[in-house]
Amino acid sequence: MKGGYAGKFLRVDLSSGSVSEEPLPSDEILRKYIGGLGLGAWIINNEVPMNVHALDPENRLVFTTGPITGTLIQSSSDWTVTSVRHELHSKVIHGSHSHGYWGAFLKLNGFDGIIVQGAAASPTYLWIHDGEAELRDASGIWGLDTHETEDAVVVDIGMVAETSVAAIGPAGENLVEAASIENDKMHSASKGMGCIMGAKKLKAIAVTRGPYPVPIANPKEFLQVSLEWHKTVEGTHVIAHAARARPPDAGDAPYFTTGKNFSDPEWSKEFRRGVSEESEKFPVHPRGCWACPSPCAYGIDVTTGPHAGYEATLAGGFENSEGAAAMAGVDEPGTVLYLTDLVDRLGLDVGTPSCAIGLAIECFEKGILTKEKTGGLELRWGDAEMTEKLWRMIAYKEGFGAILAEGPKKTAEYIGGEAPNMVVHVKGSGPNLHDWRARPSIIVGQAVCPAGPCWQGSLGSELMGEPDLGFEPQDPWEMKGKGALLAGTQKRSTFEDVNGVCWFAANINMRRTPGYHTLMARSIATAVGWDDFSHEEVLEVGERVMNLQRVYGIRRGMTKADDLDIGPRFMEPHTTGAYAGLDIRPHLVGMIEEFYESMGWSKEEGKPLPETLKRLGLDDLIPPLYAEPAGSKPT
Amino acid sequence: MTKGLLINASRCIACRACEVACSLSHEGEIDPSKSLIGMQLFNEAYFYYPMVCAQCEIPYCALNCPTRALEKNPETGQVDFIADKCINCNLCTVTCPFGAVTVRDGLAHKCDLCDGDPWCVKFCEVGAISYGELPEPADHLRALPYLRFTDEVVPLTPVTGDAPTA
Repeated sequence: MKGGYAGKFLRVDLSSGSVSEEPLPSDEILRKYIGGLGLGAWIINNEVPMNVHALDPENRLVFTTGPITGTLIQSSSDWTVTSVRHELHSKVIHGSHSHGYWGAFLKLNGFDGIIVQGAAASPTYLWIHDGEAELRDASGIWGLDTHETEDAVVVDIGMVAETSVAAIGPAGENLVEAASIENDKMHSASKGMGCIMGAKKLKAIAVTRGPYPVPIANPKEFLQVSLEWHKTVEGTHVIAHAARARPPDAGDAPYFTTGKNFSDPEWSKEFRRGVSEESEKFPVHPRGCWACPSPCAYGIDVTTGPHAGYEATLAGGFENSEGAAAMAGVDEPGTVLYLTDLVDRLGLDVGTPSCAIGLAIECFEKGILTKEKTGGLELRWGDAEMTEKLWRMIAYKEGFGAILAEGPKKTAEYIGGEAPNMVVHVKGSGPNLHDWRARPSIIVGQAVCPAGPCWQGSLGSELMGEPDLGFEPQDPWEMKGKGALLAGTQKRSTFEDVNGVCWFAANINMRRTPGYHTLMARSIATAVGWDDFSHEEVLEVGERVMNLQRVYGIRRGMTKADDLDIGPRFMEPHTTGAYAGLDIRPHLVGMIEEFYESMGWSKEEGKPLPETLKRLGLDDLIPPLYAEPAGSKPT
Repeated sequence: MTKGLLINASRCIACRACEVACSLSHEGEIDPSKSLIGMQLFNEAYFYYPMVCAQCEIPYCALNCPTRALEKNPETGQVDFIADKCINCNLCTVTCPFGAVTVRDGLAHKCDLCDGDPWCVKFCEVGAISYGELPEPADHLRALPYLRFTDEVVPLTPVTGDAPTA
């Protein structure tokens, strides 16, 4: 190993208050798991026994970067936080990704990652600077929202310039399952990693840009690979749409927008058009992540409506706005941006809570849910003030908010009656929020993803073709072959979760470009110095990490029934529009089984076969998987 | 006419690819502190731009350099650095109004324009940095340090293909 990696991990034991350095695992292990989610999952599998609950001090919260993080490859800003996912009853290993400067700054301090264990007695934050780390008292900032926390931490360390802060908000402190970790005001690591940080009483990790150079094994070649990568992405600058908060109204895009608990695609379509057009009038200030000229992160000044004068700091596509506002039927553009920012400030992910909010409002409108069960709240579509109140109640687990915070499936059980037939969820948690009923492979992807519903599940087979995986965009109506293609796209997606590059900014156009896998392999080869790292190895690493996650999940009780556990509304066909009648329900089991078989897993249980694990060098996972009685270990 | 780097601050989005490309191409490693082009960040105001040698008409660094290690090249108009002559006195770093000269490892370092094909420009896809003929300063500014900012907007690559959907 000659480059790419900084060379060591930081281990933080919050119970004893100690901070120590340790070397990276061997070259062999690094090549098997690379970094990011891969190394994180490897550490969780090694260090967190099967009976440890996500919120127990013995659970680990592993912050990792990849060998490409902080380099010159387009948007090499990715950092990952991996842990046992509380949202899914501690059954799976999940890696959440965030961007901005944080990961690059960490690496410039000489660390490839941070392993956090134990739990602090009182609120604490970690400050990394000059290649050193110190734990500091966070009593004074406990209770602040994520943006306030970032500012307060920078003040507390003495206004040190070039400091990037990753923090939890009230949701993480109150152990809300869907709490996220926010950094650089605009970015978040979602899917419940914030509540694990909250359980450890770790309020924030501040990283000041460090003085240690990141070595590159073959700088000349690496410059060329970076340039090639940049030039390939150039054609589809995210800057022109996401960064303007107005995704284009092109093609099928409107059909993917969701709102009102997936009950009204026509309203959702209008929501997208209205917010896109209106917010076009708001001044936008794009800000790039590390080495990313396609900034999907931006500040935006709301100039009209009740929140005129508010400045929101957002990132990504429309997903967060659909969750924060559209699911409650709110469509006033300024309010939509305000609510989206509010959810970030509270330190929440939109997916899970918004599916609960949408369900509750629809049930209330239909008389299935009454004031007796909402604590006197009257829930109506489009009530912006009530929506804001609900988000706050969720973050603080107050009253009816405590029910919603449990997620859509439990909310449906609480409401009772018809509610369980109207709910959107995957394994009880919220999916990535778009209306994927027009793109069924993405629903299946969310269902079978070994980390639970998240973008590791991939963008499926219909949105774009991938020459390197040998397929053209698939017809959404064609159900055959979706499972098999999904196995390929998930392996590729998983590799994009380990190398340190943001898939959203950098990879969307790449996937359509022949030779993408080779370029990824060359970036690793020239950065690290593994000259023979090949494009076959790219998919193999992705597959290995997926299998590790799957085995861990099965050992903790994940079954095929969990993969089939999808909220009925998420699969209910549209009744109008171009995709009316597209029904995946009769094909679901078949698609999932096709995916299992393509992965080398048993058709009956989705259990990785011994020969699959052997081929991937995961021999040591065979005895525990086949000897132990399956599952139900966590309390 | 002098050729040099033109900065369009309104285009900059603070992605720092210029710093990384500079340090990687010159030092073979990634370290923004060794970059010869340096970001100025005013995040709260969303105002950022890279600072770099302006190839001044009257370069204070060269005027104050006791050994003429820094010198205005009469042919190209650029400020050249001759490493053999540098005695590490730091006067250039003190006198450059833009902080474009740094001293480390006993030697001054400043932008060398990558022999006319700057790496920072190649990686600046938003068009905040371009390489070309520097605008002539107005007469009353000629004797003053003058950073070559430009209002010229470099056209962005037109958007093609489908929108991202996430």
